[in-house]
Amino acid sequence: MSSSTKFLTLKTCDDKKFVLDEAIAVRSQTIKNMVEDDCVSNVIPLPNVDSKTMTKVIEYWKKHSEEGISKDMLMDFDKAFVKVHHSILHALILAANFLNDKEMLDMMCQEVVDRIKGKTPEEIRKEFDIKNDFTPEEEEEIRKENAWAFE
Amino acid sequence: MDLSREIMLEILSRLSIKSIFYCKTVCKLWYSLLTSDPLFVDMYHKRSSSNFPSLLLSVNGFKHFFVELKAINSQPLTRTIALSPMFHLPSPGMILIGSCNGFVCFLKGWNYGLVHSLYISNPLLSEYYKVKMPKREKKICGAYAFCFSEASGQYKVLRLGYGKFDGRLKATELEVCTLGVDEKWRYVGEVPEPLWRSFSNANINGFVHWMNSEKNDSIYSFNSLTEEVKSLLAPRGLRPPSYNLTLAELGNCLCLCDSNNSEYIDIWWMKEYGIAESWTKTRILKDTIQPNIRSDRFIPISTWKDGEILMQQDRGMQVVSYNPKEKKFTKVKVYFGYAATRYIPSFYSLKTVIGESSHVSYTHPKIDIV
Repeated sequence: MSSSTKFLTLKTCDDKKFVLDEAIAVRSQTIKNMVEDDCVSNVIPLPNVDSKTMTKVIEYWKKHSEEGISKDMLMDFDKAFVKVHHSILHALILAANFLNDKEMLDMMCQEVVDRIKGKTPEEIRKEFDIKNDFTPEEEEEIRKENAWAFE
Repeated sequence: MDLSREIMLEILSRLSIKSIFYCKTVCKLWYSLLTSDPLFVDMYHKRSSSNFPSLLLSVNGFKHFFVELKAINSQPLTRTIALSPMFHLPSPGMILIGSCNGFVCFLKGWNYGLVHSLYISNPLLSEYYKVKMPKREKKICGAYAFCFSEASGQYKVLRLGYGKFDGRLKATELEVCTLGVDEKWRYVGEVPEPLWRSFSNANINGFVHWMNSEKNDSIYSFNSLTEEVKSLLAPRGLRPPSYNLTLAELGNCLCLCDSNNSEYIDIWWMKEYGIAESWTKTRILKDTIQPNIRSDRFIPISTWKDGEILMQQDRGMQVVSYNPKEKKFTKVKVYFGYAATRYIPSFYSLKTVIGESSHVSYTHPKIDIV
């Protein structure tokens, strides 16, 4: 183990480069595997992640790698971190999935769960910009079938 | 929300039952994920025992309600949901026999009567199946039980028919029907002692348990894999009357709750199944119970949270949670509950139990969404 800090350069799909401490970047299982398999040249391409999303991911990684940070502080950070528009939440889920960061993916999925909880179908559609693609007849049928849940 | 199927299911399988039914009506994609994706059914099943602990509550034995609880604050997640013949059940006025993996066994009619019928249902899918009864049967039955053997993957219904015992008619003849295999009731033998009460709800690793009301020293078990009846030694020194003794399954451990004493309730845990020396006692002193909760008899329902015991006030409507470490009770605000049974909701179709060829009925017609 070398004591000097190693840096990795990550390149997002919009050609922005991020230089990051390797110890932090390996929170991503995908990057970790690449590093371990020695297939890292100078730059690691991240073809599925854009720079805006990567900035958020790195913000999360850095906070979660801070030394001596308390559990409460992390919880507060996480709470604020997930308070984003659903399109960003969506991008972060895709990024966490591609980067294979289970902890982050889990947290983002839970946020979607929390946003669905207690909402009516109409409210859920509004929250996530989902188009109601049932015909009125189908919707009526489904409502009837599931009427007990709407009481 | 164009997330991959796996991620969408990861999200949807964490929801409560009520939310899942709301989500079904959001859009076609979600509808199909929630109604016809086998991965959803598996993922939900893996989580369901931890997601929201659920109970079936029965009022007067005939009306049934379903409730999911929130472990964090010991409160119900939503209002209790009435299981109605319109949506969930084959008919009104059925008695709950037991439930395994989301399938519920109901009895219609009175088991002591000559005519009664038995149903297996998955109320969440409005599916049910009527178990065939022997033709022109002239036999009354003492009790029914519903069990599942992990080892064989089979669901069985057992019953005790009345036969001659010491020259008198008593509930002694054990018969078994394996769902989806043969639609016959097979006689598997005589139980060592006639049964007076019903079978208990304590199903542990495919073993059904019961006690005899006159004797306090033995617990009987039926192994749903081998179909053998054996007896286990009860904790020593239990005092009569035995109607104050209740068997329960807590954290996959056979337990016996003794509320004979006016000052305390003892919960005995058979820490190692089948080993009489492993009976261990948790004593709850009645005067430590808050006055607003106090009751003479509590019947354990299940363990939840961090080792807390969910209990039901006997012949009362109260559900409480007991924390053995802090020796403290908490009220769980569940209404309509005279008898509570642990229930693990699942979306597995009854077809997975009885096979595609047998007839599954629906309480209302299925709709086709393309």
